[in-house]
Amino acid sequence: MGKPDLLATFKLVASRVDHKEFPNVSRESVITDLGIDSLSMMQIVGEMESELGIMIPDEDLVELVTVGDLCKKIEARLPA
Amino acid sequence: MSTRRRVVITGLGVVTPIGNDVATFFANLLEGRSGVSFIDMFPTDKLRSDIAASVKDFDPLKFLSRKESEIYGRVTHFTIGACAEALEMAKIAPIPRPVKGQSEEETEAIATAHAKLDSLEDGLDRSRIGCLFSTGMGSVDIFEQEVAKSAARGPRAVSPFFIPGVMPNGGAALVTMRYGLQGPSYSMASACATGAHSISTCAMMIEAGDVDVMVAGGAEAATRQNCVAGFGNARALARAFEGDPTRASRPFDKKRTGFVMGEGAGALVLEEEQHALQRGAKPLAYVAGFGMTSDAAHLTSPLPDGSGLALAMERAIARAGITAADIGYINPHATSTTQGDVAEFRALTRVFGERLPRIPISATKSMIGHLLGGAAAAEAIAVVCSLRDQRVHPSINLDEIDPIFTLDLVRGGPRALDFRYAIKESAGFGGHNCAIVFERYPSA
Repeated sequence: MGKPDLLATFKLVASRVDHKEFPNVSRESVITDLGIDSLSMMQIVGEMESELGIMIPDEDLVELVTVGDLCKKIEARLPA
Repeated sequence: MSTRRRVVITGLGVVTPIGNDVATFFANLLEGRSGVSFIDMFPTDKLRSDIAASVKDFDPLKFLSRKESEIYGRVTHFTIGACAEALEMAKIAPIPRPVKGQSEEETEAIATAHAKLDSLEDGLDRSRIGCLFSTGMGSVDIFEQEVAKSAARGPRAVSPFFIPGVMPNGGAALVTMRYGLQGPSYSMASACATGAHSISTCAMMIEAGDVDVMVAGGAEAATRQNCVAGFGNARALARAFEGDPTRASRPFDKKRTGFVMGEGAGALVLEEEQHALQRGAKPLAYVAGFGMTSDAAHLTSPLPDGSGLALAMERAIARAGITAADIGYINPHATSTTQGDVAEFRALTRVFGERLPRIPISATKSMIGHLLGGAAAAEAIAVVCSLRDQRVHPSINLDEIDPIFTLDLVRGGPRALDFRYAIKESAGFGGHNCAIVFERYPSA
């Protein structure tokens, strides 16, 4: 099985959770600039965990500024 | 000359099984229309009742964004719907109107317009406007949904919005955020008397001078499988009467067997009289007095002699500065349970004595079922409309009045009355009693 496209997964989950499209999201996008508040972000994290079948520990969730920060943490947790 | 601050009602709003605005609701009450039907939202074959009075055609997206409508449960959807109508009627904030055949973006635009309501320039001191809005049971649907999610996918799948979504004060919080109300706000629960306690406490705050305007009321949306099971297993619910759900809620009838679960919300804008008149709002009635007591006896059964409820009525009447002889109409709690109606009749007998059989009385629950935390608020709204129009709605399903009830039950259609004072009384699981005296507003 190939590596999942985490950016695509993020966009999918975020649009499902916040009921709006995120067409121009890149790894450089700042999460708060996207209008995603802290509770919504945790909702997205929970949904991505279910989607990818992983657990993202709390220490990975500090200092998340960009979408890429989250993707990098998740990549490190994905089975090799 | 008394300097007492008097409380008037300047706005009303409802979401009910027989109408999602006050005009429709009251018109249907006068017509004697039942909102009870068979439950079709979940399987009922193992339940002790299969009927309920459900709200129809209520679109939360008229008031909330899609995301908000998911965070908040159905009870909060009803809350914001009822409060929006009441605040518009009170000329405090208009409801942003959707356009016909609107697109998704336009729906969002309406929600955004709602979200900006707190920036309205109206000269009102919003630190002196608050909201006590309550529910008996909270967002049962959100609770069920998140528990199911946890069972299926584990606790990490539980939404971070679970707690703010399920908390009973969510509705009051939403109203204050939406309208920028910075006075006191919270929720109080007294089961089926919740709405009455909300109104009474709001009136007390205005009389005391702490606030000028309060949004009061209650809501419920608890018609879920496990709630029907809980009430049903407590043997409190009625079934369809001879196969007809609309005939199941029959307070004071000989063949009453229990209450019918209802859902909905009632909101009232309470306001200090001079404050209302100075800004050109139209008072609909006075909140003249209120009384609150506790049975201090049993978790679910009322005192058999109704003395707790009677004392609440006596206090309400005394606080209004009148006597029992001045009451011209009674809107009872009247759940249609075998024992509850009897205890209530005894309470009424103690308060009104020999005159009781000559005071018109009618039960709103005969048509809308029991809105639990929203019941007293919706029923109070029926009373305010009755005082305004000098016409009261009938009680339905009185095929044969139980002979123990010597009451002047309004039946067969609405009745025109010339009356100044009406009493609304409520009692909740836990032994919480609350009665409110409403008074006709002279020019209304």
